[in-house]
This record gives sequence, structure tokens and C-alpha cells, in this order.
Amino acid sequence: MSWLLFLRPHRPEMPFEPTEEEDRITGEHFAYLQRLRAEGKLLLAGPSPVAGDTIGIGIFDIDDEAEVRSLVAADPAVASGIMTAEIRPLHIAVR
Amino acid sequence: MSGETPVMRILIAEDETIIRLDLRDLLVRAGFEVCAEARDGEEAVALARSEQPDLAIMDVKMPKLDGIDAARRILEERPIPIVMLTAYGQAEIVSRAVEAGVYGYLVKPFREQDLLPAIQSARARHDELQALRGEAESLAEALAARKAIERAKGLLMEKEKLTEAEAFARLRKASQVSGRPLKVIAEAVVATLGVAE
Repeated sequence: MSWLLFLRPHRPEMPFEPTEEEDRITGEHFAYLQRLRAEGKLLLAGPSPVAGDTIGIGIFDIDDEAEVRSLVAADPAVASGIMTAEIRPLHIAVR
Repeated sequence: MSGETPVMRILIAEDETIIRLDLRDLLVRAGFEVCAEARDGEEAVALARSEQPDLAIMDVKMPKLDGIDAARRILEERPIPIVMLTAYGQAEIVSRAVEAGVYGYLVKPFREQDLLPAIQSARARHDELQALRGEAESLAEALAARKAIERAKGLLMEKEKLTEAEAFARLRKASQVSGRPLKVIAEAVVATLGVAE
């Protein structure tokens, strides 16, 4: 089963003008997602960088929805509140 | 990297955290050393001074001092190859960057496979400019000479089916053999091969 993750910054300028704290947490978020990628749970992730309207996307390959939700909740960026997450089921129809 | 060739030390200046971290990972995996990371233009200038990197990769749009002004200051102190990162749709900024002495650029979001060619291109063009600066009185004169060399290289590549590196090597050899400046050789090539234009 696949899941689509949308991440939105808590303020639109954050991706381009992070405070030191936001920069540090975003670094932890990046390392966390790299670990999930290495474990094969996350297929890919990255920002769609548009000034004032940047969002992050990710695609998970995990059967259990509860596991996806718990992994996303444990993301340092989500746990700290600098990003909010939306998780949607994804049917990959074109491979 | 082999023990004989020193690892190239790179300064990254990028205010977008994810892009900066991804860039660092890509460079380290490609065998480079990331010797410093700046989050704005002023920090980039200071780190270029203290860390003496071999090359810098800098975003155009940064707080405090933009990438082009930061590049200009870095190049005034110590010429190094610089790769400029521009956002999608900002390609016109490239001409401003070239005037400042920047010869490599990447449009964001860039692909992993575009990074190394941009670094190689910036290094090659930097080396060419350094060769010219040995002959020229000023940076402005060297940049003017570059235009003739770019035209000469283009003609050699088109008419003699050479690669860019081979075309420059041919100009350089002709300059060394004849004892005449590269600019003069380039102008002669343009006059000879470019007559139909």
C-alpha cells in the first residue's frame, strides 16, 4: 500500500528564510527521512520550491496506515510544529 | 578519490535548508569535501576568506547579500570557480552572474546528474580565465578577451568537430608555440574560420 504525504511549513517564508531553530529542526527532519528511505519505508521525498508556497511531498510504501501516521508524527519537523502533515492513500496506477 | 589528487574543497552557500543538506550529501558522495556551509551572502564571503575553498556553489537569492554580489567580493579577494544556483525562471540572472565572473550555473530544482558537469564547466572556464589574466592588465580586459576565445572555440568546435576542451587546448598550444597572446590567436581564428558569418 502506498501513501502520499504533504508537508506544509508553519509559515510560508520558512523554507527560504529559516530561523536558526527552524534550520536545525529541518536538518533533523532531512536526516529522519533519509533513514526511512534507507529502511525502504519511504520511496522518495522532496520539496516543491516556490517562493511563498513551498510544500514538501513524500511517498510511503507501507501497508499499515497506523504505522505511516506514527512515523510522520515522529518526524522532528512535525513533532516540533514547524511543518503540518497531510496523509492520503495513493494508488499507483502508472508504474 | 586517489591519494595523489587532493580532494576538492567546496563552500556551499544556500539559505534553503533542504537544498543545502541535499547538495552537501551529493557532493560528499561524489568524493568532494564540503569545507563550509553558509546561509547568507555575508557568511559566504567570510567563510571563503577563512576556509579558502577550491570552489564555491552559491544560491543567487540569499539574505543580507545576494549570491552575485557575494561572488563578486569573493572573486576580488581570491579567484575561484563559482557555480551559481538560480531558481526556475530566473535564467536572465545568469548574464549578471557572467559579468561578475561566474561561469557555472544550475537551475533549481536541479537533477543530481547536472551537478558534476556544472562543477567541471566552472573549473574549466575558471582555468581559462586565469590563463588569460596572466596576459591581461585587468579583469575587464580578460573578460573581453574571453569573448573572442568563446567565439574561436565555438568555430573550432563546429568546423573542426572538436570538444570544447580540445578547442581551448588548440588555442593555448598555438599561443605557446607562437609566443602570442591567446586573445590574438583567438581573433585570428575568428577572422579565418568566421569569414562566412
